[in-house]
Amino acid sequence: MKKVVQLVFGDARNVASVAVAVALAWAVGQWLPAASGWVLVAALIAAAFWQAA
Amino acid sequence: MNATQWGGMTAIFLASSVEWVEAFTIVLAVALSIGWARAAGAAAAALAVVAALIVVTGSALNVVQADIDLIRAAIGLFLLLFGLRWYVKAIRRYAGRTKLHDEAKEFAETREKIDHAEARVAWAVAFKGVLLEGLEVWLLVVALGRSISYGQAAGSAVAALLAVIAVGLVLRAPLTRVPENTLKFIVACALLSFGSFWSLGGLLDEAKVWPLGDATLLILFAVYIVAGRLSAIKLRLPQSAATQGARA
Repeated sequence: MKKVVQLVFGDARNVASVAVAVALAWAVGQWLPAASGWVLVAALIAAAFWQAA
Repeated sequence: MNATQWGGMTAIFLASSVEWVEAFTIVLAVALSIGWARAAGAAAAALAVVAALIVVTGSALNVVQADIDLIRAAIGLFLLLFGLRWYVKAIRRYAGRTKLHDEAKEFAETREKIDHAEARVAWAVAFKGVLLEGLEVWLLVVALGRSISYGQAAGSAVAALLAVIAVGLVLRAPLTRVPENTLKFIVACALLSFGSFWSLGGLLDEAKVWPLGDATLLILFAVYIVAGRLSAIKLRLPQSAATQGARA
């Protein structure tokens, strides 16, 4: 079961990365919807770099 | 069929191919110990479980009457979780911080593990190996199937399985020449593109977030590819450190 959960969500860092990136993009989207998508992309790339380092 | 459907089907085909190659390596190692018939039986039993899961989930999703935006957002979030995991792994491998997956080594390790084991233990190794790889395929079919077409998604996974079996049976050796990390990296970029597009498009107004519509998917894909490769270059370790890092 643990392995299946890990297959879906990955580790805690992965879950935190996605949660923070989406929350940030959603917050930006309240004022600047057209910029929110690119905020999400930038946040995910930064998170990937942080996790890979 | 539109570009989104082609993209989704290609992503499932490539991702499934990677998983099936890993499963084939395990089955091949077990087959040399307990024979092809029993090893294939174990693989078939695991595949039957995966097929049943795909059918049951597909039927259940058809029954669920939820808001389409909510479903897209949920699927998008799942794709981000799944895609980011593969993306990070691929970057680390390109950068020499994690060893490349080695099918020959996996084959040797499985052989060693079951060398003196009873036949039923070897059978269980093949069953579990195929099931775990198959579960990842199931997750992708469920996630992408809702937005492209469930039949197309499942069909892509089956096509990948048949392709790997055909090549594997011809070679009768671990498929070591499959560029696994490159495939995983490309799939990760595709999953992140779909995930970014659907998650935020579902949570906010899609037309305002992504004014270019489906064409955005191609731009997102290119951005993730370039950023991933640049990250790997930036994180690349010197050769000596890479050997130590990959061992750790």
